[in-house]
Amino acid sequence: MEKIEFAEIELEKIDIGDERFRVSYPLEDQSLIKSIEKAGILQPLTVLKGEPYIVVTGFKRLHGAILLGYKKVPAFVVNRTEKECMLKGIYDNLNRGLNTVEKVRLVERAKYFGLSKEMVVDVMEALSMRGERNIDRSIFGLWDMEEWVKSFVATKNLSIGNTVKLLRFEREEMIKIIELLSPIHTTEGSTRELLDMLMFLKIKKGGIDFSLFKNSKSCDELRGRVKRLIHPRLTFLEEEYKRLKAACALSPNIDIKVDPFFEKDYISITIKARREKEIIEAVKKLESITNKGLMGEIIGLTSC
Amino acid sequence: MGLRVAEWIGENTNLVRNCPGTKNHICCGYKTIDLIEGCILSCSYCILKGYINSPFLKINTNVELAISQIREVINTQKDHINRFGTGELSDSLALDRRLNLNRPLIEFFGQERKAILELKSKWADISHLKGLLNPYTVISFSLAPQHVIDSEEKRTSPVRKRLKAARDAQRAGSYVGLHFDPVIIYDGFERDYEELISEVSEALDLKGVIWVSIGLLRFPPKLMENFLVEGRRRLLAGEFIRGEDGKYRYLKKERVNVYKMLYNLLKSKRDDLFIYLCMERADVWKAVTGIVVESNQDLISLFDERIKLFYGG
Repeated sequence: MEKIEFAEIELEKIDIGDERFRVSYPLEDQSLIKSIEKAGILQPLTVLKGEPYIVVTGFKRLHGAILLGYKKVPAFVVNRTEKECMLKGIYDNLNRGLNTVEKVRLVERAKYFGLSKEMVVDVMEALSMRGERNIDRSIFGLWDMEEWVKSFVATKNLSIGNTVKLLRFEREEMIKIIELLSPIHTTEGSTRELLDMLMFLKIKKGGIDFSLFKNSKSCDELRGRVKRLIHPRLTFLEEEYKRLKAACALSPNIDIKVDPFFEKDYISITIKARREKEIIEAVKKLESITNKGLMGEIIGLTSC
Repeated sequence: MGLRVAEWIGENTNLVRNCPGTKNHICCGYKTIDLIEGCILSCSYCILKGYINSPFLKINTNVELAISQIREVINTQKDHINRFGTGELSDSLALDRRLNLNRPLIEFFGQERKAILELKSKWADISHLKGLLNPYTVISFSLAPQHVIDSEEKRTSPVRKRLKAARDAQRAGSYVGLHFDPVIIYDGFERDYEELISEVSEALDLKGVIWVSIGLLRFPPKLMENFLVEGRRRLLAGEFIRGEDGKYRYLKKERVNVYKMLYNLLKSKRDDLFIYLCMERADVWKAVTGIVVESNQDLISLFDERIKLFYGG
């Protein structure tokens, strides 16, 4: 059985620049720093025996210790091959929620240290990454990319799929997209939609004029601006529909729909009623807006 | 070209199926003979890329089995004239010189004289079939402006060669079908299609064109991702919506305008051409052609009338 030593190791005896086993990103973790400040490093690092020592796990704790001016850190000292160390790093990390930068790094490291193809596939499955064949290889360069890209991916908690979509843009475009998306609240789905729309726009127009999207205050606003450029006719129809519906001044229990996308040759009208009186009132209202020609105009939006 | 053949399907396969059609859109109701699944031509917009999850071709050489299944359909479905085709899950001609799967089918349909076989292709090679062709096999070509072929159908035959092969088929005793599908909207497509239709009318005897289809670009969401990754500018030039079947297609008003333009151009070349819309809605049919086609059965009846006109009652 392997003998694991425990020691308080002086920081100057650790090669802090050697990040061959590092998976954690970003290293800054304010809650961890506060915890260390309060209670010290509760879970020792793992370091590979040598002169100097090389960190296997605990990069965030080490970073916190440095920031707090520690001279020593507690650590388990192991004497293993690099591959064994990486395995330790992998299995330690698999148990926590990794962001995309970390997931990609973990897989890249697994390959780098010569884990078998089956093991790499197992790791990817454990990380809920689809089969390697389906993943765009550009993603594996993420770790070596500039800080602002990695930081955005980690902060926004972008999925692998959305990160791949982001990386398909040119560097200058990526900068602009990150500027646009950073200040607004986005979900996984809305990010995917926006990235697809921006790529659509780029292909369609041969480039993106980002000045048109400046100061977008919400995801919806940004989406609306992009959509107007890639789908001008559809946007017009939707605005007309919105305008006509507003003119109808429908009560909340009546709705008129033209889904999906004005495709059907009829409109759908729904009336929610709890009492007969509500039905009579709704029918009167519908008759009134029909007589004003508003219903005809809405039907006109869906007709050929 | 290297051929990657995955497997030879077993004996108990259903090789003859109804064209799957698509929800809330009108289908011509033809039957597919699926001896080959997958296509070596690999057109950028090909819907097979969204459906067939294999880089390999699946080939079944058991044509006898297919023929027995075709015979059963002919003998049981007598309320209309059955049309069969091999161009649903593959190109009908691209591999045929090598695999020779069409020969027994053409012979069977020629002997039976009860149904029609349609060979749909973008591959202009029918020389190996010339001695066999008979009116019960319709040789059909998909047509697109050469610009589109150059960028989106790179491995296929040029339009000039397709038209020449269609002309050869007419001379060899077959009727010809033409499929303007998928029609792609891009800057200047109107002029390109006008030229293409002129070229068609000059190259072919339109009297011997049994049917013409028009279908605008439509595709499942998986292909949208491909177009974005591959930067398919021409394919993404239009405005797309998701139809009731979940596929991307152009806005209805835009589709109607394009159909009308093509329909009128074709009719201007020969007024009695039989032109149908592929996988369209009833209201679009009405707006474009003035004909009320509200169900698959309505369209099948139109096909029956057309076939009777060509082959007699």
